[in-house]
Amino acid sequence: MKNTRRLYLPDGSSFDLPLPPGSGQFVENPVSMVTSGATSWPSAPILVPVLGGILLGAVVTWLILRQSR
Amino acid sequence: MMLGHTFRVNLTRTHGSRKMVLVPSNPQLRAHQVSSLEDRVKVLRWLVWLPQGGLRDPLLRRIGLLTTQHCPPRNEACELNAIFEFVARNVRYTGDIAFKDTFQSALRTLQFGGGDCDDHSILTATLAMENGYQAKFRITSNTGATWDHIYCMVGMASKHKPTRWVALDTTLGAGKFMREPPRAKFRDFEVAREEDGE
Repeated sequence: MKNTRRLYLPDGSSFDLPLPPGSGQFVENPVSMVTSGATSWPSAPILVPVLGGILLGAVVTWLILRQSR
Repeated sequence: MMLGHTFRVNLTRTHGSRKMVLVPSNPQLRAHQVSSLEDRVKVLRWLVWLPQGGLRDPLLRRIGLLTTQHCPPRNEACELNAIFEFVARNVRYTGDIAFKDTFQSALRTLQFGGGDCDDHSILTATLAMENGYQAKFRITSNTGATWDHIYCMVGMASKHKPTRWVALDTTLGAGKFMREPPRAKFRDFEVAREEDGE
């Protein structure tokens, strides 16, 4: 694999843009690439109702158990 | 002509021409929360203003000026058309990595030779701003229910106080300078607020 990429200018000329060393692993080595956290872990808008529901459920269960004693 | 990428700017002279030698930075895969349009634009702005591979990288300034070098000075239509054609011809529209919403800096998109509408917008805005133009991100909705697409709008008539904004949707392909895809609604976000992206 070449370690440069040729870019063509609108006036017909071109230049070679070097790729980082080890361009065989280029895709696995993406400098300045960022990913959305939404697909990696639950985002805050999802966590809030889920955690809120669990907390509410625990309180209600505790109240029911307390009443039944 | 050969252009290099650097971090520590090493300028050397090779065969009478100035050559930039770039030392690549360490690999990084950064995760960002992108749950709203504002969050998305914040990441895009951050990438436009990057010191390496973005607006503040001398290499991108060099590429930006190479792109418009054949235009007469102050010919805005020629310069913006040149930027449009450069991106449309050198960067193929392609999807993100499967199941990931990825964003690339302007330099990365040029090196990869492909990117989605986010990446096209970042590159187009960076090259336009390297030539002194103001840029906006236009996020559009096809049906009005979801936000589906993004492209770059660039200010004309005055670089400091633009009175006319033209579309550079390079994902449409070469020869479609100033064309806008059909949309139900849109929102515009200025790029030129560095502090938001830091």
